[in-house]
Amino acid sequence: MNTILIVDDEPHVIHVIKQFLARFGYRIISASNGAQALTVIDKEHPDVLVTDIQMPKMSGQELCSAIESDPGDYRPLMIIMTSRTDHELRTWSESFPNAKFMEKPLSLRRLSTYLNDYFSAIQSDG
Amino acid sequence: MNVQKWAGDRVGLLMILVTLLVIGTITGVLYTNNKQQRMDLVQSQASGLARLLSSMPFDALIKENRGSNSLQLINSQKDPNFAYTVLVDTSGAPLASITANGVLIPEQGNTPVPSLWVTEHRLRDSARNIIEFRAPLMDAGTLAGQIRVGYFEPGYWPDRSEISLIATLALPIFLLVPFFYLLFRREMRPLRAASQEIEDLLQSRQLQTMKLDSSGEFSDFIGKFNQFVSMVSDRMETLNQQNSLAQESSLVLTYQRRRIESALQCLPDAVIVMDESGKTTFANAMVESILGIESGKIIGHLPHQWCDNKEVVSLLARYHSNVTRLRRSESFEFTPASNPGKSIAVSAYPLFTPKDRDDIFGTLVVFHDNTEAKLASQARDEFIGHVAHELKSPLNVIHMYAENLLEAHEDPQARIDTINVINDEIERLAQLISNLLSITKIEAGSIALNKQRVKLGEFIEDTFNSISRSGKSDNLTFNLNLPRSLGAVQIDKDLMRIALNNFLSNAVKYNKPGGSVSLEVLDEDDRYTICISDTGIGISAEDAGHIFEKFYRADSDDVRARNGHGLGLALAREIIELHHGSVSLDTSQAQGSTFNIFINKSSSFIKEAV
Repeated sequence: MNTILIVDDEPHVIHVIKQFLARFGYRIISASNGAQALTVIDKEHPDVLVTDIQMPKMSGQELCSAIESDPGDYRPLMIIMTSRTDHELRTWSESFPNAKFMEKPLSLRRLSTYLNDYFSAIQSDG
Repeated sequence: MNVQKWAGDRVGLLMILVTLLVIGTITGVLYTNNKQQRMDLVQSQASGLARLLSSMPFDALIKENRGSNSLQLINSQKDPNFAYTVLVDTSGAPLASITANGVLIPEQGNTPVPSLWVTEHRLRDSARNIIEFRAPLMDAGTLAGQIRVGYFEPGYWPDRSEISLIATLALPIFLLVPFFYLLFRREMRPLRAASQEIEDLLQSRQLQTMKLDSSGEFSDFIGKFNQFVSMVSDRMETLNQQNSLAQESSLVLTYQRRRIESALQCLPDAVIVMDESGKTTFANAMVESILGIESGKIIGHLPHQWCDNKEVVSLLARYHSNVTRLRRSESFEFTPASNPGKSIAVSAYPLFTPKDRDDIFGTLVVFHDNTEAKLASQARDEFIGHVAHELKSPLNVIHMYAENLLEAHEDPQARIDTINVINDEIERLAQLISNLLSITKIEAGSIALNKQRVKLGEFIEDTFNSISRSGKSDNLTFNLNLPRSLGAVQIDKDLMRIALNNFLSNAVKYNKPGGSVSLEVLDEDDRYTICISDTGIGISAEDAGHIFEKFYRADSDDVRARNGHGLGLALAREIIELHHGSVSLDTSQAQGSTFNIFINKSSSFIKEAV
């Protein structure tokens, strides 16, 4: 079962994404900030990470950088949701080969389609 | 003065000398002429006598009367020049002689042979020169001897008889000398007086005309001299006028320069003026506060000597390069190495002479401290970023829940929950927008307070009750404690309600189930203190310093779990301060939080008036 970690400081967002993606048979786990997410990742090694940028304690940027700089070969797909549309952030997210930038307000349908395509692509590869 | 006097006397002396020389010459000529005449006379007398005696018969001279008659005759003539007459035989032995008193007949010399001719000889007595004429002494046709007639050669000195003549000649001449001298002195007198007057003028160091009375040519000289003096004094006056004009214009220039410099000193920017070679000639006081360099270290130095920023040095160097001199102004922003937090805009302008645009005589460099503007711009960008984030967050939730609603239609409870969430988020969005508008208006100063006299007790009770009604669902207890009689205050009712609402709704929002919200009003001397306290999650010491900042939300999960956008307290404080009041957070509480709002009773009137 593919595991998806949702990181957002807004409980409503976690709740609704969880509810929506559960229909497609994914296992959904969540964290309310970057620091919490890192401990969850250590334990669960989710296949996909869906994260917000502006969060307390540890921001989405810091979280992504921490995962990328990990010496192991664990590299999940990172979907970055943000309201920020500025160029710098886009350039930053493009520097990661396994990162996808999705602008808020986020469409759940687009997210699920993207995830389904991603997993079926992996499956056909494998 | 002595030299002048001596020079004056020298002319007199010269005149005397010349006169004496002339007199001497004339006298000399006269003497020579006189001597020649006397010589001629002596010669003719002596030769005449010699011939006379020669023609006389020998016997008459020698034998008769022993020659005394004729010779006595000669002697009786008493000629002062007569020396002797002597008759000698062929061997030279004297036959007869007659001499003047005290005269010794000199030897005949080495010509003893008698001549048939009258001959002239020069001999010398013991004291005087003698002219001697010799004639043959004939005795009956044969030469018996010689007749020697001697006469004294006349001397240089005139005879006594001539002294009167010479004196007659010399006297007027000697009388003329002092006369001329006195005349000369008299003529020189005005010159001496003029000299003395010039001397006095020189000592008084004043340029004046001479007041000397004079006549003739000398008055002409004095007149011309005075003309010259007045010409010189006219010229000096003109020069003095020109000098004072020059001084005046120099003063004006100095004044203008100082005025420009003081204007440059007053500018809020650092201003540096460089000359053609790039050396600083002027730097105002702001240089020190903006660049952190003492103006003394800049003046008289080249840019690389005082500036450590390479970009600035290379920009300024381009204004002083002979080959590629910049003729337009240029500017850019830089951060000084000594102060990384600063942002300074440097602009350089070439200085042209007004008449010739090609003639650049220096550069004006202006350093403008852009730090504040940059910070303001950063703050604005940050604010817009926050606003975008805060606006998009509820929209994001609404969007996702709406999408979910389309799919999750099977469970009616889930639908109701979803719709409730959407409703809450819309309310949050509306609240955010209205808070945002209010805070922007207040900060821009464009909000006008609509102040009315409001009874404080009624106003607080009303606001408190509306909050307590909405918070009852959370099992909260609401305590309102008002003094019996509260006066009226001058406030903008609508704005103040927003402020009070924000405090009270926070007290509700961040409370714990079963907690309480209390409001107490203290009636103090000149102010009312409204204390709003809750038994909620409280505010950490770290957050206490930031809670009134815009968009600040504590990092705790307890806070994040509750809807909020970080504008409520910032807006509430702005409103209270607009009413000349103040807000503080009471940090002494062990749990929950208490805000104290201070509102002046009457100062709002006074402050308005002021």
